[in-house]
Amino acid sequence: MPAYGVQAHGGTEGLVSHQIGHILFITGMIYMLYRVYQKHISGPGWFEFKGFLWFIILWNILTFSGHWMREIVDAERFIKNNAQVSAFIITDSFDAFFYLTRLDHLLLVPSFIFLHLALKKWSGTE
Amino acid sequence: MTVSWMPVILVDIIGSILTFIIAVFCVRASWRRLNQKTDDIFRQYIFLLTLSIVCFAISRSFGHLVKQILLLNEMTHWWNHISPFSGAVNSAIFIIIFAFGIYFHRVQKVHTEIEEYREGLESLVKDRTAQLKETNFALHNEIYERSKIENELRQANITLENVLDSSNPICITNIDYEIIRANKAYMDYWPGTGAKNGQPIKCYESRPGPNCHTDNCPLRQIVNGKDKVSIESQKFSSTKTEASTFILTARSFKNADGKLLGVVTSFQNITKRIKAENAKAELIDELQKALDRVHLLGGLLPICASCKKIRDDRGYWNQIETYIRDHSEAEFSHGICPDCAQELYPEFYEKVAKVVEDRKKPKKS
Repeated sequence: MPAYGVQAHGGTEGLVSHQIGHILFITGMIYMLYRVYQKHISGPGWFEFKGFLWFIILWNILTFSGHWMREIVDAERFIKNNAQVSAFIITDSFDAFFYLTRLDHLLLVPSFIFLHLALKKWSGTE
Repeated sequence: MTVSWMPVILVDIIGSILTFIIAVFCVRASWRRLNQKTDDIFRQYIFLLTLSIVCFAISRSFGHLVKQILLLNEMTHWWNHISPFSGAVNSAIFIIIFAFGIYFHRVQKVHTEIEEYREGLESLVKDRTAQLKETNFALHNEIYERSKIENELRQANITLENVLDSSNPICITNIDYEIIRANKAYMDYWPGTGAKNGQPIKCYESRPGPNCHTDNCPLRQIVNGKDKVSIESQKFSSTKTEASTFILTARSFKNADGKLLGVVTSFQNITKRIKAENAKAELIDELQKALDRVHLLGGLLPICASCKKIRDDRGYWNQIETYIRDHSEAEFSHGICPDCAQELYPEFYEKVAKVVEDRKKPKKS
């Protein structure tokens, strides 16, 4: 009889927990953004902070999608050279979007730039 | 369509490096901001939020760089071992960031309330300080005015002392007949006028006199409406052995509102003057009497044309010598005139005349 009381932690469970992490991350950031808009918080640095929140939310969505799509995308789409991916075959929009998800730093870096600008403005004006 | 994977790798590597660097700057900026005001709760929150996000960024960037390095060096199996841990760390940090995110509003609200309370407190302190300054200023003015009034009072007191410091006894008596102030001259004449057992002495005890407890009492007269009373009164000194005569002048003593508080009494000792006046009166009397006697002799005297007898005011005829003797201080010494001597004693007259004539001639040297 299998020991149903024992729960294994293999397979995609790691991805699920990671994805839950992303969801929580998004939730936290969306809540912050909501409160900033609701309270009409304005002033030096808050525009940049809102920019940071938008970019980090978008990055989370992109990365979340990328993690999920990575499990679905066909392995034959990857052209490998000595076990290292050298090219990718795009056949439809799904493949194209997956390729874009690999370029997530295009959203992450600007988000941190906005965060840094917000912190600098707050330091300079208060 | 086949696209190169190189952009992915390049973006991943460069993006990771940039993210790493910018994350470090973010921590620095947040730390600096916190140090500007360490008791600010929102700054503490932002610092911790930034720290958690930066931890995620560093962890992820590090993980991606390691991944690319391992994959480029065909060490995929190593990455397969490391990747769960890298992902797990990021997952854990996501949860922490989520927790910070949901507390954003609460912290922000508390911070706002604290700042409002602080502003209110500062405003209150400012108002109180302004009030205190105003009160202080008013107090300074009051102290200045009080000092001024005290100086004026002191000066008035000194003036009063100087005014009271007269050779004439002066005292101030209240409407209860109590002596409340007396100058030195008064104390010299009537010592013991100071308070007894804490109670001021009554005026009629200090200097009893004939007007005490009568309607002639100056204080009673002034209480009844007079403004000034001036009377002559005899008062005994403290030894009660001699009485002196004073002109007692009493004036009403009122407060600033015009309410009668008592009398100011001055005593002018006129004993010597009285004595002098009495002596003068006696002298005048004597002179008058003498003048009366001289006047009788100066009037019309009825005299006999023959015998030269004078008739007095009783009707009797008196010898002239008798009359003059009785009505003046004159006395008579009897002699004989030359005419009567020649008539009555002719033989002696010729001898005497010759002697007198010889005496008149100048002597030959």
